[in-house]
Amino acid sequence: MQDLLELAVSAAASGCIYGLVALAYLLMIRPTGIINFAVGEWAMVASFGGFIFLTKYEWPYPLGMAVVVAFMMVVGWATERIAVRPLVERGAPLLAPILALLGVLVVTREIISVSFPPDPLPVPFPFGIGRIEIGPVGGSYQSFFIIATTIAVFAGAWFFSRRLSGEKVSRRSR
Amino acid sequence: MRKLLTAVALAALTVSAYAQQTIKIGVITDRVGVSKPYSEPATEGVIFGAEEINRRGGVLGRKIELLVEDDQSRPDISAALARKLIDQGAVFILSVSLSPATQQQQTVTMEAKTPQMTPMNSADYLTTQLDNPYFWQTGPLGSVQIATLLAHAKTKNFKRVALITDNSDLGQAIAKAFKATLEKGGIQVVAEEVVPRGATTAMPQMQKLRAANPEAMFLAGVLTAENVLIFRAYKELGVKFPIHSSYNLSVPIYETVAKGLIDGITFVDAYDPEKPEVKAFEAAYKKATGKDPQNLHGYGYDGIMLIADAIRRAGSTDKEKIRAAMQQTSYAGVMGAKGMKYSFPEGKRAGFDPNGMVVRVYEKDRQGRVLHVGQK
Repeated sequence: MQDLLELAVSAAASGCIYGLVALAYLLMIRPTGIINFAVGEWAMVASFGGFIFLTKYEWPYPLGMAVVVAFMMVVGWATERIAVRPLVERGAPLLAPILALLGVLVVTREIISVSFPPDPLPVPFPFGIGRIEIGPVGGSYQSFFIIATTIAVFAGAWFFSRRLSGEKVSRRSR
Repeated sequence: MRKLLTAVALAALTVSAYAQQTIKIGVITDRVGVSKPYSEPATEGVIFGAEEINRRGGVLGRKIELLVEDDQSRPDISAALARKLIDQGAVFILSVSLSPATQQQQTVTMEAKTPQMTPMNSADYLTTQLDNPYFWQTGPLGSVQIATLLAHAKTKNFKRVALITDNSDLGQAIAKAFKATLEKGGIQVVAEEVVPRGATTAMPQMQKLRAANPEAMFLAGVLTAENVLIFRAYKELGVKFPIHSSYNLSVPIYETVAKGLIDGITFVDAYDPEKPEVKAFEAAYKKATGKDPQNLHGYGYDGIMLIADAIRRAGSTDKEKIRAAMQQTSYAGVMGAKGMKYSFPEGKRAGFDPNGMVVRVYEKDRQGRVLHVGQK
């Protein structure tokens, strides 16, 4: 039983990572109608950013993460400006920006693969390496951190989209 | 890496000037494959050794010229590269990629009667499967590693231990040898687990080992990423039994990729930081390159030094004379316990002293002190 619960925690933590990437897809496709195939690659870019700031330069975790998040916002903004907006503004068919984003995927992947060695690159955990046991449920600090972060992000996204759709409804009813 | 390329480029540039005078040594390394973490520093050691030899006037009054090829540790291309190097005039081939690739090169060196040696490959079969009088290995054999690790374990009086490895050929072979030697020593292997290549977690395997409640765990895996998963699962599950690792943990890459996970792990090594030859080597390497060498640099350095020593004693670059001289080697290098000499007694072609290995321990994230020497 203990084994099963431990596995559940660790598997949930891995699943949460995929869940967060899936949410990113959803958040982009819902309002824009364009699927961004480069989202997975962006997650990868962010991980390598984490490696650079947290492992290579050994910045404190909150600062390093803040820089990575800010950097990813710039990446997202630049992609929209360079690859998506010019096409949409000139009335290209819907498929065009999708293919352009596919191109962004390839470019991003190749840049990373030529810039970093094939060795495993570790990134430090925010709370170090340790284990929490809550009754029969046991897992690493990192697993619980990932699960808690994911829940927070999903809850935030849910409130955000509810508020947005609420506004839409009230506008329509006017 | 850049240094390596520069050295190769420099070597290429000097070809024309020295074409008649240089002694060409072929080096087959791995720059991108599974053996990269071993092969890259070893090759740097070879290059440093060759530069040092050339600074001191070379061998037989001629400079050493390295011809470096990358076989990616792939047996299917390594033999062709050995052929290419021999065609380019290499009088000795130094193999620092993976054992199966080195084995494949032997088919060429045996036929071309060209001396070949590996200073680091550990597979026992390299000098036993083929009767190739032109091949030597001076790295510590797999069987010696295991015997040394178990001699240390014996001092702990374990009765019940666990065994974990990966599904690579070498990892499987080491695990098999671990098990046989453990059981011969009256130690029961109560659980065995395999972490497959490409796994994303080692939690289930570690849970099973924990359930078996062993007194210690022996690690036979050789894949860096998978070993890191094992150490992570070990920490995440909060298990406490000590880890005794194969020689793979002597690769210093773990100091960076397994930061915070390796304190207290014991491992077999062939490098004693307190040895005078090691201190001299480390100082010279630091002076020449500005970097601290690792144990793996020592293998490459010893390899090129052994070859230079044989050619010097042969008094010629005649391959047959070099072969005869190599067989008579008696040389104290950087690798091995204090006082160890490489030699090939009674026609053997594996030259690492069976009592020349040591057991060391990770202290925090650094490879630390020697705990045990030899097989006794």
